[in-house]
Amino acid sequence: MTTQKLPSPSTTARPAPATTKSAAPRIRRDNKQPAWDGGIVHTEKNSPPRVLYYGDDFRLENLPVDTRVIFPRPPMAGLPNPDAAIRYALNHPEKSDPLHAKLFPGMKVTIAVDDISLPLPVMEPPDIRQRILTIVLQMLADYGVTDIEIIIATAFHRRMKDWEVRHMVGEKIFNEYWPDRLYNHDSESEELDVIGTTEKNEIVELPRRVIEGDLLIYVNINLVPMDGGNKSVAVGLAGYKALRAHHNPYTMAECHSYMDPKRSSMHDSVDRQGKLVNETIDVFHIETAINNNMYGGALSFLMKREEDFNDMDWMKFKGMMYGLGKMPADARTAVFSRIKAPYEMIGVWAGQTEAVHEKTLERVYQQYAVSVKGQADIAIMGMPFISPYNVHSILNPVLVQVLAQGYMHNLYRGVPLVKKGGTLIISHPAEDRFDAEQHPSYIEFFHRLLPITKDSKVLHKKYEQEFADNPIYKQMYRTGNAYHGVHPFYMWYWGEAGRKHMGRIIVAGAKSQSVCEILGYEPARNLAEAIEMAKDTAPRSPQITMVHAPPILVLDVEDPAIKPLEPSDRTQPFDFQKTNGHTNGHGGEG
Amino acid sequence: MNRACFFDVDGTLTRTSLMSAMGYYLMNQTNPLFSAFRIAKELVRSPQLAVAEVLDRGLFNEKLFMAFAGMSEDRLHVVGDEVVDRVMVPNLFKGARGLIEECRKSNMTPVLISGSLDILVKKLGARLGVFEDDCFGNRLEFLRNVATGRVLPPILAGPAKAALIRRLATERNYDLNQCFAYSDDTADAPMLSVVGHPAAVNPKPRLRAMAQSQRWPIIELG
Repeated sequence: MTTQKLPSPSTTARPAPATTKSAAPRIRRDNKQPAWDGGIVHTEKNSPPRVLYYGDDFRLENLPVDTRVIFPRPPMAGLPNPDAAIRYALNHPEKSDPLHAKLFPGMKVTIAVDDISLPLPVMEPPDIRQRILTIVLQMLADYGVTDIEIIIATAFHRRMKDWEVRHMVGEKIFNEYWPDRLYNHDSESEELDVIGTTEKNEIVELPRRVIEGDLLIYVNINLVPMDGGNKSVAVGLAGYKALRAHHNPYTMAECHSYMDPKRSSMHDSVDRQGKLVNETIDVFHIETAINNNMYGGALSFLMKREEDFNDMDWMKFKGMMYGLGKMPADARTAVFSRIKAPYEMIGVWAGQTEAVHEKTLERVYQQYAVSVKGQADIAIMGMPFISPYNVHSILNPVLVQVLAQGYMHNLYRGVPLVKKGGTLIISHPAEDRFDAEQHPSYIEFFHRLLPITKDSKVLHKKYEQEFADNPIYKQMYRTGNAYHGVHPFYMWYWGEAGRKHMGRIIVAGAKSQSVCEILGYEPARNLAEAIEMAKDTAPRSPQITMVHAPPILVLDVEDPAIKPLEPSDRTQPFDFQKTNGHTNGHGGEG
Repeated sequence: MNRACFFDVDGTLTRTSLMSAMGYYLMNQTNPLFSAFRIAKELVRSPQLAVAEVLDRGLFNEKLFMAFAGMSEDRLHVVGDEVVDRVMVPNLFKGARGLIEECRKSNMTPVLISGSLDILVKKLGARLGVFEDDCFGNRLEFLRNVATGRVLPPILAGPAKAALIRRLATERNYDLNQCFAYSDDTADAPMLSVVGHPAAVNPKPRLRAMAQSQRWPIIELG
């Protein structure tokens, strides 16, 4: 694999406000980068309005002069021959024998694949997993391997529906394997066994089939640096005992950030579990990186900067806004559910988990990392229609929270974009909408628990077990298409680091005051009002930054005055063994 | 405080209805002539039953159970075993046993509350591992071991199921806020409303709409 060298965008100090008027919109680009460099634009008086996500709708907003707007990098070119690249990776693995060298007739092979949470949105066919599975299954057949099962590594995510699986693996594999030899993982299954505990007492559990098998092949799609690596197996194929070792408010609060695995205590914990997995079973890891080409066809204009919109783009955008404005909410959700992303594979590696992941991360950062100098007092982020947890569904208020404080806040390396105690403005209607099929426990979590307490530790200690044991939620998770009963807790914990860091969160365009109150947010009628509200608690002439995402980016924020938190700054991992393995038994906090 | 899961049976745990069991009883009388006579009689009464079902579920049960008039208690038990093994158990929804098992795993008592004959509910309960004391159905009145066709009050339907749950809660120290209830029909809305964790199971359209508006979980047992 060759490494594609990209220009590294960076910023300069904030420029002075414009003093001259010009007929055409002008942009000033830091470092004089070409038109679309994934860099930074400072708005001027004549800058065009910005397209801001607003759930399953958009807003067109004029930003104050001198607002820093951060754009993602342009999509890297896809591999010209992905199938050849996959074969090359299988035959030239990292720190491992080639796949064919591990195969022998009569062996028991399990293949695990990432679920529907990757990539976002669902990609145009053929899905990368289909490409890899086709090649791997052919190789297994060539070597006389017939005992093969494919597990969709859902962990506590919802089970994928048959038509979603068909789209993911392709017609041929689906017809041959579904549903007996291609199925969703079940974290509540009795066929899940503990393989041991780490030196920090974190339990590791896997499906019996995997433990008793001769080889586990994991097929990954890496959308963000948080994904992949040891997390694929140790989390994707785990049960509650293993997941709660890191999916708890204590560990989540110590992640700085999720997108920077070296500074994430969750990844530390997962790595310890992964080490034990790799010592116990033979894992052949296949990872892929994709570019950020989220929109194609009629929506490709959404990949552009507003400065580069032509008349046709503006016409399409305004037509789309008009159409969406006339639709009921459910119809809008249905329309966005149909979007398929033209993602392309930009790298594929195979072999030993950590060695592979290192290569993947390097490529992922090449695609996503954007250098930013200096933190912001006020950040503006549009909340899109999608998150990993609402594919073909609604972005409910708890998911808005995790998108804002969990994902968008954590899209950084180094230091967070927003200063400690600063303000995040999110653009979203924040309505009281839930999908009762996919998110039944979210409804109770939001309406019953959050009004009682927003404290993650109290929620964890007093209520998590109750939801974990709820037979309705278990049934809906195991046989329906619902997220696990404790999933909303995890989503709340994911927001913990962001919650601790942010001073205020203001929702521009909020339609429901009660939703904002329950989340601890402040409603504003529109972005202008939100910015004025944010200025109340910001320093004079605040630094305002808009993150123009998605497509996804990762901010390399440098601020000489702020020292990034290091692993040594963390507290000790949460030890469940000392509490008899029962979360309710944890005392002394919350 | 203790906790319990209350299950409606027909339509919730099984695909059968009250009519399925009744049909089996009618078709298995002591001789074919009796069967033909009884079935004909019920066909004549069917408009009455249809109206009763629309008006009031309790009234429907009362009218339906009149068909048992003249059957001996022994026969009801013997044929009841067949009804359960040949009609009800084969028609259990795929996830029904799992749902009851999950309830047990969570240290809750599974309780069956049905408008069916108590004889059938207890027999089905035995097949599902539910204790006899936790199975409730409608009780027929017997005179010298022969059913009179009347149902002993209270007729277990609609609000009476909710009343039974409240009574059980008092007697057995159940914390209703922590109890669960499962049903498929709006007739059981009172039973669902009385507990802290109601769920609509394979709901009929009206209950589905109600569950959606009340944000009760909807389970498809398949």
